[in-house]
Parts: sequence; C-alpha cells; structure tokens
Amino acid sequence: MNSRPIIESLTSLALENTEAATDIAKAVEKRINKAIPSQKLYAFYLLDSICKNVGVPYPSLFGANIFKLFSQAYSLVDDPTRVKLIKLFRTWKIPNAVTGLSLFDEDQIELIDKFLIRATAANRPPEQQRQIDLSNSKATKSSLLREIDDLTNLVNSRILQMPDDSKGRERFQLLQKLRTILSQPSSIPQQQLDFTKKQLQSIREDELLRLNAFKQQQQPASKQMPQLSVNQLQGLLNLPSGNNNNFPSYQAPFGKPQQQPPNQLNNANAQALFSMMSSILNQDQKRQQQQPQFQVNNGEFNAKSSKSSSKDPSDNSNESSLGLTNLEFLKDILRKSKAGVKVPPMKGNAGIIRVNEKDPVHVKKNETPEVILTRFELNQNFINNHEPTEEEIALIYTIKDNQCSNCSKRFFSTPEDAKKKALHLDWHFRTNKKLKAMSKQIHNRSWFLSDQQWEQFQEDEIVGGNDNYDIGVGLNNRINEKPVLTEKEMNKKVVTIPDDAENEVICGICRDKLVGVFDDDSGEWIWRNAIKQRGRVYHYSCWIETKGQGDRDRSPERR
Amino acid sequence: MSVDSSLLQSIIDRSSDGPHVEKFQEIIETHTVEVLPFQEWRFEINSNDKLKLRLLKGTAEIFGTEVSPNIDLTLQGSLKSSISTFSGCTIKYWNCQPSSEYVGEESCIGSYLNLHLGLENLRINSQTGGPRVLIIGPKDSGKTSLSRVLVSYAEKMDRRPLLVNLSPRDSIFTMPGSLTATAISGMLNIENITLGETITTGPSFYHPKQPLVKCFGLENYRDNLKLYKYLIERLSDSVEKRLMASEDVRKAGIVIDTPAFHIGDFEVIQEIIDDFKVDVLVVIGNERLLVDLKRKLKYDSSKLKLLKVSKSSGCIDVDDKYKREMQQRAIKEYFYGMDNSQLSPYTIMVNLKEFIFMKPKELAALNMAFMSTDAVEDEANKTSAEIKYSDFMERVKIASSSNLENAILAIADDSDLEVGKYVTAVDDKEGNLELIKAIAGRSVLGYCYVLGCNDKEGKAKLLIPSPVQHLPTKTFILTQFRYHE
Repeated sequence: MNSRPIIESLTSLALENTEAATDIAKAVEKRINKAIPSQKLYAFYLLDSICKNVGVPYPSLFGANIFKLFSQAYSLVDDPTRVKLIKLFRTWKIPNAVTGLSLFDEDQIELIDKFLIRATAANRPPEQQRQIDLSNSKATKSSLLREIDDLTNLVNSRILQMPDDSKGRERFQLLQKLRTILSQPSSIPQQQLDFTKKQLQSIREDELLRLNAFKQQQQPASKQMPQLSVNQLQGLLNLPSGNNNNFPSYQAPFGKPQQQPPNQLNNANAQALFSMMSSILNQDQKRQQQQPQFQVNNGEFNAKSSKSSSKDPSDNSNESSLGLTNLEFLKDILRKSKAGVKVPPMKGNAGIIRVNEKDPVHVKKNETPEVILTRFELNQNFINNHEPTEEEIALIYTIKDNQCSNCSKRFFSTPEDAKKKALHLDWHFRTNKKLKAMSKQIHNRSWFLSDQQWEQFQEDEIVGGNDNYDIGVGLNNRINEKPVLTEKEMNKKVVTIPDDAENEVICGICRDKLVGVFDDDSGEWIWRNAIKQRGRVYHYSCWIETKGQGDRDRSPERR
Repeated sequence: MSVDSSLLQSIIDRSSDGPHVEKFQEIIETHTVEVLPFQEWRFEINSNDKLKLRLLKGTAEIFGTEVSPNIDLTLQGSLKSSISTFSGCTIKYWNCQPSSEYVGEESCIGSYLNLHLGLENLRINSQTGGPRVLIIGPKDSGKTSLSRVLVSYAEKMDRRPLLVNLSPRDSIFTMPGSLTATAISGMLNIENITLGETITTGPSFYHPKQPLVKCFGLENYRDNLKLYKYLIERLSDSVEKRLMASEDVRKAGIVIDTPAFHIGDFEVIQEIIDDFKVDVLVVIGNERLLVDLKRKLKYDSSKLKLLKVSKSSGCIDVDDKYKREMQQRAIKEYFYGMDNSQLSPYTIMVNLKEFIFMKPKELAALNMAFMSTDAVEDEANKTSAEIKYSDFMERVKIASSSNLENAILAIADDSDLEVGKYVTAVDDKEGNLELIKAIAGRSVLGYCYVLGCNDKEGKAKLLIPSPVQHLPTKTFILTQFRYHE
C-alpha cells in the first residue's frame, strides 16, 4: 500500500541501520519483485525515498540492479502506473546539485532510458473505456465526453513521450476546450454532436498514425486489468478498504477525473490531469459568464503552446497542417452555444463509437505483439475464461495482412517481409513447375538422417530458399555414394615392398601399375595407396571401392 | 534389383487419370456451409470418397493451419476432421457428400489460442529457450489436434517449434510404430494425414519436414515399456543436442504429443518430464487425471506448470478400424507419396541369410498399468540401475515368409558395427546383446516393406523408398505392422 508515513518511517529505519544496508536493499528489491503489480510502484517510491533521503550507500546498492528491477516492474504494471514509473525515473536522471551525478549509476540509467524508449515505442488508445461505452448503449453527451477524455489521455501520454511536440500540446488544449463546452449544461444539436464524433474520430486516427511512428505500451494496461490472475485479484480484494485506490487510479485518467481520490502520492499522473482539468473548468466558468472572451483565451492558448501568432487565421493554418478542422468547428459550436440553440437529447452515439471501435486497421497495426502478449499469463483461469479479442486473434491472422496467393502463408507488410514473400513466391513458382513435370520423372522418398546429422540439421536448409529436392538427392547420394578417400587417406596405407618383389606391381583390381617409392621416414621402399590381401597387392582405393559392398565396416554413412 | 516397371506404370496411369475423373464429378453439385465465429464445421469422409472444398469468405483453419482462400483443398479417404474459424467463414464443398457433417457451436479454439499466446509470452521472456509442453490425455481427447494447433500457431508467428510424437499408433510425418521429433519450419499439410511430408528427391507443394525417427515397432507402448522408455530417453538426448545447435528451434520450444496415458503410467510421464525438461504439462479432457498427476508426480511447482484444457465437443471416439486405415495410408504415402507428388519406390531382392532381423519384444506387461504402483516402482528401479538390453529386442532366428510376409521393416543404423561377424552368429547371446545395444536407440534410415518371400531360395523381395545398389545396412527391425497393397 502507499502511504507517506509508512515510507517515511521505513526510510528513517534505513537511515538508522546503514550497517544492514545490504539486507535492507535486498528486502526492498525482493518486495518490488514479489509484490503484485499494482503494489510495485509503492515499493519503488520507498526505494526512491531511501536513496534520495539517506543516500550512501543505498544508491550504489540499488544501482546495481535498478535496470532489472525497473524494467521488470514496468513490464508488469498497468498503464497509469507506467506513466508514474516514468515520472519517477525522470527524477533519477536529474543530477545531484552537489555532486553533479545522477542518483544511480550512469550505465543503469542509460539502460533504463533505452528500455523506455523501446517500451514506449507503440501507443494505442485504451479500449477498455470505449468498451464500457459500448455496453451502456444508451447514448448521452457523456459518451462523447469520455471519448474526449480518452483522446486527451492519449494525447497527453504522447506529450509525455515527446515533450517538444507543440502540436500535440495544442491538440491537447483543444480537446480540453471541447470538453469544457460539452460539459456545459446547455444542450447541443444532434448534428453537432455527430459532427463532433467524426472530428474526434479523425483526431483519433491521426493520433494513432502519429503513435505508429512512436509506439508505446499504453494499451496493454487497459487490457491488463480484467485479466489479472486470480492471485492478483484476490490481492486487490484483500486490500484494506481505505486503500483500494487501484481501481480509481486506473479509471481516473480515462474517464472521470472529477472522482479522483484525494490520495496525492497514489496517482500523480491522474492528479496532474485533474488539476489541469480543473483549471480549465475554472476558466470555463469564467467563459460561461463572458463568452466573447473565449476567442481571446483561445488565441492565448495557441500562442503559449505553439508560439505562433494569436490570430485566428494562423490557427487555421495550423489546423490544416494537422489535417484537422476541429478548431474552426470548435468555434462553430461556441457560436451556436452562445446563440443558445436548444436541441433534443441525442441518440445513436453508441453506433458511431462502435464503428470507431471496429474500424481500425490502424489499431491493429499499432500494437506490437509483444505488448499484447505481456497480458497473457499462463494460468488456468485465464486459459479457460478469457475470450480472445479481435487484436489477439489478429496476431495469428491479420497482423500479417499480406497473404500468399498460392498457399495460406502470411507475411507482414514490411519491406523485409516483402522480400521474404518474393522468395516464397519464387519457390512456389519453381515447385509448381516441377510438380507439373512430375509424371515424367521419378522421385523417391529420401533416407532419414542419423542422430548426429539430425542434431546438426538446420531448418534453413529446407526453407532457406533452397529447393528441398536438392537436399533429398543429397540425402540419397549419401547412402549410394562410394566413400571417397582423400589423397592423404590413400597415401597413409602403404605396403613395404618385399625384398624379392619387383618395384612395380599390377593392382589386382584396376590393372594399373603400382610404382614403388622410397619412404624417407621408414627408410624402405614402399607402395603408397596399397593394400596386401591374400597374397596380392591392390590399390587401397580400389580395394575400398569394391569391398564397399561386403565390407560393413565402412558403411556409407561414415563416409 | 530393378525398378518395378509395373508399379511405375500404374503410378503414371493413376496420375494422368486422376484429374479427368475429378472434372466429371465436379459438375455434380456444390454445397456451401456457413460457420459463425468461434464455431466449427465437423465432417467425416468415407474411405472411398474425395472431398473438395474451398474457403469463400472469412478465415478458417484446420487444426491451426490456415485454409487458403485461393486454392481448393482435397481431403481424401476416411477422415474425421473439422474446420474452425475465429472470424466466421463460408465454405464451399463438392465432389462428394460427407458421411456426416454439422456445425458445432462449441469450439475450443479460443482456449487453445489463449494457451498459445501464453506460451508465446514465455518464448519472448525466456532467455534459455522456449517452453517445453507435454500434452497428456485419455484416448480420443484431441491430444494430437491440440499439438497440431500449438505448433501451427507458433509457426504462424515465425517460430520453429519441435513437435515430438511419442505415440507409436499415430503416424506423424512417417510410418506408425515410430517415435519422432520434427522441427516445424513450414506449414503443415492439411491434406496429408501424417501432417506433412518428409524430404524427397522431388518437389512438394509444402516445405517438407525433416524428422528424427526412432523405431519402436509395436503399436501399443505398453507392450514393451522398457524399450519405450529407453527410446524416449535417447530421443530426448538428440532433442537436447538439436536444441543446443539450432537457436531457432530452441527459442520456439517443444510440443510433445503422447499416447493415451492414464494415471497408471505416471512413471512414464515422470520420465518424459525429466528427460525433456518439460515445464508446461497440459492435461486435456480429464480433470481427474490432472488431480491425480498433481498428487503422484514429483515436480518443482516453480518449474512445471500443470494446466488443463477441456476436450473439444467435436472429439469423436475413433475405432481401431479407423486407426488401421490411417496407418495403412501412412505406410502407402511413405512409399508412393501423395496424389499430387507421387513417388516411385524400388524393389530389391535380398538374400535373407545376409541380413539380421531384430524384433522388439512384446513383454507381458499388458497388466502392468493395473498393478499396484509399488510393483511398478520396483520395476522402474531395477531398470534404472542397469539397462537390460535383452528386454528390448530379440533376434529373429529363422527369417522366413511366416514372419516376414507383408511386414514393415525398419532399416536400422548399424554403421558403427562390424555387422559381418553377427550375421551368421544367430545364437550368440553376447553378440546379439551388443547388436541390440548398438541399434535399439538409434534413428532408422527408413522403412521397407516385404513384398514377397521365397523360402526355398531364402530370398525376399523388398520395397524400398529409394534406389540403392546395396541396402545401406544389414540390420532390420521387424515391426508389428503389416501392409497390404
């Protein structure tokens, strides 16, 4: 659980017992490793507190493992927690004012940095909330609001990754304003709402496209919640009632910032969002009193974020560069709401959301399989009860959307896979050609491999562009092949020429001459590549070749 | 030694006849069937029929292997199978009416996919290697189907898992009576009942597979548990070495398919777990078995995960006749290949006296499984102390038509032996022991079939898969399997 007093008291304990630092460090690490994902963050806060407040020797003790600790925990926790972990990590990177060194070992920090860049390489909107929207099929303005919140969160998390993205910031603020307008009590015409939907949808798509280039882990967390192992769920349920802030912390950034629990440390990110929201809400109240002022405000926002001129035309140019017209639309809405047009309550929003939900080829492309897979824990409950979602099924289907026209093999739409596919099609072409000519030729099943050959066999010999029949022929030749002797092998077999024999002798098999030579090593005259059997002399190579039939000692396998 | 010209002729005839016949029948009638998401179309085909089908809409798979929308599938001979779909699909079929067909509303593919993705997660996160999955279940519970699904899904994600088959009744990639290990580096062949083909000298529509084949030679693993366990041990040795040498395979892990073990076989299961370093045990279709295994097996729960998946409602009890037919077809395909890639086996005359015939012993262990576990344990302790090779096999003293006719022989790898000295010494006990020791656990080079036996001349006519001047070895393992052309 997360509580300042506990962390403080534990920190002071660590301070008083520096002689047991190693053990304390181990205990904290153990806690981080063993704690259920939702609790890991708090253990990190403790680690952080000890390192920052106590200092030596803790940073060096934790520093050795910090990358492992951090990356493991990061991969297990849900999305909001990840954001908080990143924030925590940022504080570690800030150099100490006195020493000029960062809290932990530079190498480890760098590792974490790289890890985070990789881990945040994919981003996707949280599906969960929209799922909820779907189930409450009764459409209200609130569904639109949620969509906005959802998008806001998306944009926000992107801004966290790309602090320099002024357009992202701008969009963030636009969304905030849109939200403000919508949350006003006055009703808005149905058409307007539908239009807003479409706008939001296009924002979403654009956002997804952007994130494609800058992928991130956001989405697994949204899925992780319902898929917690039984243990984890029990862990959550067993939490003291005052402390069950995991669920709110999960929902807050997506849905209802207003319901943010007051616990400060618990949810820094949602807190930040909340404060932002409330500040905007405050402005909104002013605006409600004094609508015309909004135009000015609007300009101010843009000036702050994009450092562009505060005039409306430039806003428009900004938008078109974003491929969006929502600012104009926003103003449109403003005008309408100012005019106080009254409209009946709206229906059918859910349908639009559904389209939004199903639409996305983008969504599928956006998620990295690794991210989805992290949700899959191999446990009984999960295997029996989880119903695979579309993008999980896509992992074995549409994620590779480039299907071979000759068979069902699939490829990614990436340049590398395009190459693979070309090779694959090439293989089909050759194979089909040969299959057609098949009846004219005789083919056989090849012999199986011996244990040793199989143990060394590489599958690329089959699928690596080679044609298997070449291997097949090779395998059969192996059996048929006469053992080929190297010259060295042949020359090793020598027969000393008997005193009474001629220098030259005829091989009993090939009828060629064997000519004696003087061997310096032994100091005798010898025949090389020769063997004496039953009183006759043969070339050793001839002997082997003919004896190959009956001589099981030299089985072809052994070559 | 010559090519059997009549055989060749018949193959050529068949291959040119085949397509014409189909074209006539194609006109007759077509049916379409729609399958909703997470359902499956189950069908059975009679032995003389040939069902053609094509995917019209959606995506579909047969035991994990995706059905291509671009090509017609031909399923032939007696077959009980199913097409399942995640997305919903429409299938067109023609050429024959399945003997039974219906859409089953319950499909296990969802939980199979969960299992697969869970395993894939392990693959990603493991430094040492992919998961080693052992599948255990009663008869006809879908063990082979599940293992097919798991390796197929893995293959779809560019993995190269090793499929180990420990069920000698089943013919995976080759003859029945074999224990095999095969890296799955390409799609399985849905049209082939042995899941795919091994390497030939000719082209094949799918990438062939390269199995390691050990010959058990008996249909029931219980007929010689000692040999069975010895083979498993030797197979696992080779698998371990293969995993060391091939990083791609190591990262993908192993899926082990088994015969219908029951709780009485727990020591065999234990041995498989230990030998293959199994870390995920999946019990299919029998909760009781899982509970019993948890109680009986010695394992480290942090290293071995026990899971259960439910039996598919599409599982049907197959009778022995069906199994026999499957085996006969597997044998036929080994020699003659598939319809679209036919092979030409060779015949060769051999002098029986020049060869050694070994036969796996059928131990009177039929009731072993029902014996008290203590007795089984005693037995196990004895064998683990020293390997009793004499229990594995026996020498066939007089090879004649009475024991060879129509038999399937495995060509044993005796390359380390000076076989010459054993050939004549039929009764040499020591010599025979050495023989068994040398050949029992080794892979076989191939199989041959005894076309005929002439007792007077002491000669036999063998059908061998590939042309050779001389048979590569002098030692055969005489299996329990017979084949009738």
